[in-house]
Amino acid sequence: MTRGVEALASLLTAMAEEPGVTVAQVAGREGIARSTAFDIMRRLEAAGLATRGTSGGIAPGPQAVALGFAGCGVPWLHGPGEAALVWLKDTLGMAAAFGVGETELAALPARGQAPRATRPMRVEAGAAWIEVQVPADASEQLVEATKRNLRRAVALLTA
Amino acid sequence: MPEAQQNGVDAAIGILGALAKAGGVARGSDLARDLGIARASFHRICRTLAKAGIVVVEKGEVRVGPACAKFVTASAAALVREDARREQRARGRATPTGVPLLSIEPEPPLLLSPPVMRRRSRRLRIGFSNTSMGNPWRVALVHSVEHAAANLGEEIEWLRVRHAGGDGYQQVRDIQDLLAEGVDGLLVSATIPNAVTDAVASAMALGVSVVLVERGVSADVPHTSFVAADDAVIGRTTALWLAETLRGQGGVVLLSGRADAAPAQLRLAAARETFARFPGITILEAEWTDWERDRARRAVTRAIGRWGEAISGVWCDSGQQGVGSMEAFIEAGYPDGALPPHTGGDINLCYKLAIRHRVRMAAMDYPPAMGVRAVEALHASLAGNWVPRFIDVPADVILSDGAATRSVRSSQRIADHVRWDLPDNLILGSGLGPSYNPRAFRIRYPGNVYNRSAAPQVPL
Repeated sequence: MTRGVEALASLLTAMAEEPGVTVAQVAGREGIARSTAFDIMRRLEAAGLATRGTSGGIAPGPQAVALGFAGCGVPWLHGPGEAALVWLKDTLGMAAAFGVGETELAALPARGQAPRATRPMRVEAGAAWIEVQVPADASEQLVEATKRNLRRAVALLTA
Repeated sequence: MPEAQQNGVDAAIGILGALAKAGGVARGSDLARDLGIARASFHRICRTLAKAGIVVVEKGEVRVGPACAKFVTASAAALVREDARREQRARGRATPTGVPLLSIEPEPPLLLSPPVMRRRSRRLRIGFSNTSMGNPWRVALVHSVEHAAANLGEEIEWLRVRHAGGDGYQQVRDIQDLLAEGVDGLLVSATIPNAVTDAVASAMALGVSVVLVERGVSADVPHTSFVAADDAVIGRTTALWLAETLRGQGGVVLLSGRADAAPAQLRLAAARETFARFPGITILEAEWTDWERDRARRAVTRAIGRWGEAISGVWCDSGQQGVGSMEAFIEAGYPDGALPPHTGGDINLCYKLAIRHRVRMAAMDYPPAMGVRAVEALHASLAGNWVPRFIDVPADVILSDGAATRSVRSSQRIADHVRWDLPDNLILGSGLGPSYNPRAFRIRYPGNVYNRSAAPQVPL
């Protein structure tokens, strides 16, 4: 039983630390039988703890990332938080980030060439926050649109 | 004891899943009991997971361990990589340059749809059930969908497109056929919302992600996302521009599309609401034109005969009516510069006429680029991401030179937007970049033959 769980822990650790690593690579390195490693991987995928791309690279699945977010005290933010960043970037073209307390959980750069000077605009709900970088030369219209979109997104920060 | 719990790996997976559901911390005895794991086995598994830092066991509690922070880091890095790929795919495409915003627009909260769970190791099978191929706008929409699918490259196994010929029953059969062929995700541009409601709901119930494009279904029908241009914004912005251009005084003629088409209804309702805020504006006539240029021309010819110089402006919900209306004024002998201000857009000829005859004009192209956005939303959902339940594809506000008003500023000049080198009936706003020419459009993606588009050639 313990060897199977150790193999599972090895796969979870490898997929978090080495993006794109394959099951075969982990199995070879850790001395796990290939059939065992692939069997465990199938079970991890079915449980949403891991994903495998078309090229065979493994990555943490949504349940694994949800565990990480739970460790930060904001389990509900995984999924909605990232979607909000993509939406803010799509609609405003600005760099965006979200996090909790001092910890930044995810960030996206601005669209195209980043503006030289920016100022942060942030909304908070409890310890969670979401922030965009507004170009210093943004028009009044863009600033209003930014405030409006942040107000629309803030509800996602609460459980 | 269930089979799944006889295996230590399954028990460990059960513990991690239960821990995620519990918000990251749970009492060990509760977990062991709920999962039906013997206490000794439970503690052995937890010790092994704790050794790797995946959990922490302390004072009878099991909590998420420090190693799980790396899952967040990996996820954040994957988000940045996917974002870079999206930017790469968008390179060369035209995107709106401004943020159209009026203070009177409502401010709904951002609603999201959770992802559809699917096996990722297989490439994507995407189906597009299109209502019809009746006009150049729909050709541009299909081209836009195909362009986005081609950009996904090896990520897709095939894209299959079905045109229902405007028949709701045929569209239901098309959706059922695509489901039978094993699609992972569906794009649907609904012919008649009520006719395809059950088919869309069935697809979602089967775990197929459904993204509606341009024409949706009722909001209470399960769907992943609805991608469209905000028709109310188009109606409101163009009406506001016309009312402010006329300084709140004068008679206007309203030319709408089809009485049974939701986009036309929404634009007209928003325009009427806006004109109602200007007591000096009188609506002389309102006509449904079925988005037919000749019907618009005949309607305006009659209106000129009846109202003559009292027509101070013409509000059109698309360029089809804009063209018909301007042609009617020209035929009636109005000299260049004397035609009343118009709204419209979409069609190259509308812009050409406005420039040639010095007509003050405001336009917001109804963007076929929503096809690109719909494919991206479907791809995001199938890749395990949450996506907005409504995606508004913004349109530039395109104005004649010097035609800005207090509330409506241009994000593009008509002179920069028009394509003198391309056919009159070219639909602008395809988002496929300046080199896009529907007559010469060739595309290669898994599922098509000889690089031919699924859209038949429409004479332009």
